[in-house]
Amino acid sequence: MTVQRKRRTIFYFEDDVDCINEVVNILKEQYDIILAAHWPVIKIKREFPFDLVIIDLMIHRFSIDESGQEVENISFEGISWKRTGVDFLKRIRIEEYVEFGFSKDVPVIIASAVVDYNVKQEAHNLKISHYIEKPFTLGEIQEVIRKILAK
Amino acid sequence: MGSSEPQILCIFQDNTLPERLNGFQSQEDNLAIEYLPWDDRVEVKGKIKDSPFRFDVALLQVPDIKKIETLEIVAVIKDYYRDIEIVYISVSDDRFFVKPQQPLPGYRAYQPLVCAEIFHLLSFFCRQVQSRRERQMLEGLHKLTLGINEKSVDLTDILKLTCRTAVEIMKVDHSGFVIYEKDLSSGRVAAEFPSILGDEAVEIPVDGIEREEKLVFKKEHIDIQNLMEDTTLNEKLKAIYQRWCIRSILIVPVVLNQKVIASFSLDMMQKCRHFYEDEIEFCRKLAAHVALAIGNARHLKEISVLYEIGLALEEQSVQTGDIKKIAGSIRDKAAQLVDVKNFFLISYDEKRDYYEFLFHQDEMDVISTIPQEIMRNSFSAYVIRQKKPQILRPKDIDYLMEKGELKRVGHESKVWLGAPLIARDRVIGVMSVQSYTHEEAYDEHDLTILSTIAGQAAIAIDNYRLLQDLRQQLLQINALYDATKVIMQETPNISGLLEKIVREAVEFSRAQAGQFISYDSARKVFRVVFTYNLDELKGMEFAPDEGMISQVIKTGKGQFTNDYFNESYASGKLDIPEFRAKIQGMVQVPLQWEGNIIGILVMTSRPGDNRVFSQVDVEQLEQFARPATIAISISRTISFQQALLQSNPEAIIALNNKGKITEFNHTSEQIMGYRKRDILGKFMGDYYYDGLEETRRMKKILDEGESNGRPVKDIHAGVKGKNGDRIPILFSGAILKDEFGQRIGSIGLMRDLREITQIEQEFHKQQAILAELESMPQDSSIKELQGLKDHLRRMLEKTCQSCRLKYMVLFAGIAEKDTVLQPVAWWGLPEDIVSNQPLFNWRKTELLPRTGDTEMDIRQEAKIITEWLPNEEWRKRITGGIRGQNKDYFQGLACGVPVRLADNYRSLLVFGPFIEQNDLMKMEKFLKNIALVINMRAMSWLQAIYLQARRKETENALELVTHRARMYLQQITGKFSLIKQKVDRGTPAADKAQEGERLALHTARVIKHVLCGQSAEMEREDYTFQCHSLAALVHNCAATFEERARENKREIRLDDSIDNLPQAEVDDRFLSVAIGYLIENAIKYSFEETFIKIFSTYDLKTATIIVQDIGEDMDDRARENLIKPGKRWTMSARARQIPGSGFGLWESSVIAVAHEGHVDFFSIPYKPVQGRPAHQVKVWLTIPLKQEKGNLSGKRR
Repeated sequence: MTVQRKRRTIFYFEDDVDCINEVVNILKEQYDIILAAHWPVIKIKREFPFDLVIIDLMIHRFSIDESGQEVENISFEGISWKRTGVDFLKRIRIEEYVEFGFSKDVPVIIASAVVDYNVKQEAHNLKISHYIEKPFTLGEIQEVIRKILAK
Repeated sequence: MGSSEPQILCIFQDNTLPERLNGFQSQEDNLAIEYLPWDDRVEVKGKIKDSPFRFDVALLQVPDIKKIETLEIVAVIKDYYRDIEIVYISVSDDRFFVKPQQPLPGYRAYQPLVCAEIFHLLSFFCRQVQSRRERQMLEGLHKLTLGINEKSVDLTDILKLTCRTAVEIMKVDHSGFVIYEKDLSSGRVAAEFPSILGDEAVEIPVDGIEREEKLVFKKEHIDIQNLMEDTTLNEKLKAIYQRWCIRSILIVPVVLNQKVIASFSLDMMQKCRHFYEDEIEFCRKLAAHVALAIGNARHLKEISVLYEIGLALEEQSVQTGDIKKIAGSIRDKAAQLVDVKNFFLISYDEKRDYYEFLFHQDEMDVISTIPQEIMRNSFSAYVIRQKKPQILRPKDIDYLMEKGELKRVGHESKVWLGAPLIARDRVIGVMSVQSYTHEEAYDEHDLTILSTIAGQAAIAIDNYRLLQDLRQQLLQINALYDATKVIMQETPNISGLLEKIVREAVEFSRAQAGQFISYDSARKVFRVVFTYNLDELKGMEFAPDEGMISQVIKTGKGQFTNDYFNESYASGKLDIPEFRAKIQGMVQVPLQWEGNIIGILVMTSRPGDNRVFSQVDVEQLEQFARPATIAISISRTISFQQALLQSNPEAIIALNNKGKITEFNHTSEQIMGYRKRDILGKFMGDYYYDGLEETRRMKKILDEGESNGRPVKDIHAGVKGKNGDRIPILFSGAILKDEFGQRIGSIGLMRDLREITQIEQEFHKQQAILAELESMPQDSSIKELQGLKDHLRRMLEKTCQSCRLKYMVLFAGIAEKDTVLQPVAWWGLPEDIVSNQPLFNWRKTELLPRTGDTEMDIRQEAKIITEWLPNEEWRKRITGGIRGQNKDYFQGLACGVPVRLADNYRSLLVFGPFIEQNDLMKMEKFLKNIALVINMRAMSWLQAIYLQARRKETENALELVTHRARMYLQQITGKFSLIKQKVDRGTPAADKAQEGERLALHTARVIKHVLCGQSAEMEREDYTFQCHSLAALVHNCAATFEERARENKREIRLDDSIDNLPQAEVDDRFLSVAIGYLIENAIKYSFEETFIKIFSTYDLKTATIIVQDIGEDMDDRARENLIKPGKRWTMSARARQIPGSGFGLWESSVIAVAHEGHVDFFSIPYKPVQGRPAHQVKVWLTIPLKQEKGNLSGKRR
């Protein structure tokens, strides 16, 4: 019997849901996507790890989630909101969130509007698979995801 | 006997004739005659031929051979067969009478024969006798001449010899000489033979005796046959003649130089007759001989006496201190040769035309004082005028009086003799004698004698005066020598010397008081600086045109007066009763040194002290002034040298040849701690720290220096201080030599190295502190103000501990024009002060104008503040600038050092009081350096922090805006993607969605490029490279800044090398901006009144544009801070958001890099400009001429 391959799961670490919602909605046709930046969504024990993680680097302390509710996003003590994404990635790499589906070697795409080259460089150093600057087109992100998941 | 009787006595002889006649051969046939010596008689012996008779004839005396008839001959005719018969033969009138006393047998028969024979014999005999007598006379004269020559010195001997000769030859009984007095008034018997007078002094009067006057004045002889019958004789003379039985006398005058000086007499006691002519003639001859002898003797005596006079006067002139005594002595000596009954010796001063009696003796006139006017017409004056000896007799005097040449002074004299006293071609007086009785009293010979004596007297008087002058000079020299010796040996005290000089001068010039007037060149007045016996004058001042001083200055010579207050130039200051009572006469002589009058020596006399000043006094005082001037000059020089020596900041020690210390100046005392009086004469070797070894080393060094001809300089050595410590010194020295080149010692200069060593140590310590401060790690955590404050506090703490300061505060202003500075860092302040610290306000320092502005006009006010000075004035101003609470706490601060950043005073480092005493002057540079290090550190970090803060704000804002914009664009993009997904491809909606998506992405890129400020490398695509002339480009840039440079008092000079620049592919807009920044930077950091030079170099690959200025330094830190970090802040700088300086270089650097080139600079120290340390700074921009296409992402046209 042919076992249908399970749909790939992508965690999109993003605080500004509105700006990315259109693209994510389209991507959801192909992938299972969890879009969030606040703890209640993240800190859920998962049986299977995520296949891909897309991270925005700058995470505001508060934002509006998909349901239209204001949520408090992840923040790390002593770390600027501009670098929250980087620090989140660091923690993934040190297996801090393995139980929540974030494996140590999960492929990561950085999708950010960050200008600071240093932050970019720091992110690169954390073994990211791709860095895509906002704004990006649907085609661009689809191509990148396809290539990474095909590996 | 009567006059007809024979005059010759017959004398019988002995009977020895037969024997003596043996062998007798007559020259004639019948007569043999033999002359036999027998007493003084002549004998003729013969025999009568063919007869038994022989005869002896004795001719006893033949007074006059010519008068043979009076001859009486005694002939002795002997019969040899019988006894002797005596025949007396008398010859008279050519007839012979033989009167035999006893008839001889047979005699008669032979009588005729005998008589004929005798006659014949006598004829012959008489001829012989005559001849013999003549010969005897000649011999007598000859003997007399010889005798005279032999005994020429003793006149008495000569006279006696003459008398004896006359007696012997003339066969008279007595002969004598009478010598007359010089005035011929009388004579005295000077010699006789044989002596009948003995020692009896017999004076023969002349005056009133006809016979004598005839003899003396008419020079005629006297022949008296019978003295007893002579009536002309006076009784005394007659008695003398009677006593000695003198019957006849012949007197002839002895004449010398036309003058009878004596008489010569022949006396006969037995006979009474006149003297024959030949006798008189012979006597005259004898007298002439004697006169000659007397003349010679007198001449010799005169010479002898003159010689003695010369010697005696010479001796007297040397030994006697009184000219009057010498004059008296001259008179006494002259008396030996001339009659000095009336004698005058007058001195004459040619310069003053002044006569003075040195000696006078007169029989008629009593001379006290003869007025000078009368003396000028006297005989003496005539002699002085003629400068020749004069003998004046009445007729001469009358003649000269008629001519007005002279006037008679005193009684009329018969004869007057005067001889000038001439010494060294100058007539210094006259010597004269005169007679009131006889014209003949003096003759030419006397004038000669007088002249000779006058010559000797002149020499004696001149010698006396010279000697007196020499004595006086010697006294002066001795006095000055003593004074100089005192100065040289004891003290160079000029006032002591002046006292000595004035005292000596007063004594020397026999004045009553003396003063020394010195010239005060500063006030241009003459001031009495020393007085002797007239102290009221001390300190009085006279103008150069006042009083006698004006005369002295005008003439440059000494002046005198004997009536000061009646002179036109008398100073009014002195014309008060007090001085009138004390000043009568005055002498002033200038003391001139090298053509300048350095003082005036003044001698004064008091009224009534009879001290009359004359030109002689002036001259003598001038002579005195010369050595005095030298002494004063020497004293001043010595004083000056001593002052120099003693005040010399270097230690000076002089040694003699034995190494003993002979000079030890004040600095030496201070360095070594010994007193001069204690160390003089000690062996220097004892004062070297290493003793003898060091002594030998120093001696060797000096010897080598001497032999090499090189000065011994900067030799390190060590001397022993009084406390035994070793004092390091730097020694320089030289061998001392005298004027003959003989080594007399050495002199050394010592520099105390203790202070230098201390300074060196201090310097090293300061360097260490500075190095430590500079090397203090710049904490990487200094990212905010507190971190910087902590860092600065540590620096201040370190400084306070190292320099032992009580506290330190750093005031600084962030904004470049702030006049109020805030405390940024501090150390050592109490808690209560820290909690309420004051501020520092530049306006309150009163260093800036009171404009009330809260901003400083950088370019104007920076000039006022200039540089910090470590003085009290600056300290007060800085203290005044500290305002607010607790400001009083800072009243005791040591100093405040401001530091400029660019053109602005941006900070002030306050140094609290030092715990130990310190010399700020010595620490000035060190404190400045500390301030510079701390302030630079503070200001650079302050600026960095400020900039960082601003940057962060900007970045945050930009990041937020960018982020937000991108997020929105992402939303737009997402929406367009959704539309594309929903609509069919190829439809207009799909196309629109595609277009919308593309525009959104493009917008995002524009936002990123415009707002985010990416690095220069990322902007290359904004450059447009085009082929441009670099030369034109640089020219345009320079022209743009020319006016600005002028406004700032700089000048831009474009080098010709710019014209050679080639074309290149550049973005002309950006490159112009880059070059413009270089020029602007140069204008900003150069000093006023300097020029900015722009030149270039290029090769095949690159071109370099160089901008050179003279001004502030740029160091490596600037390279690090201004050029490299600038890349990141380019945009901010371009937006002119960041205050401060140096951003132009960042811009230029960015643009150069975009052109594949670079910017760099080079700075070297330059000579100070306007008193500020300056550097020559070259900033260059290098770009490649051919840029590779592959390296450029920009567009090319």
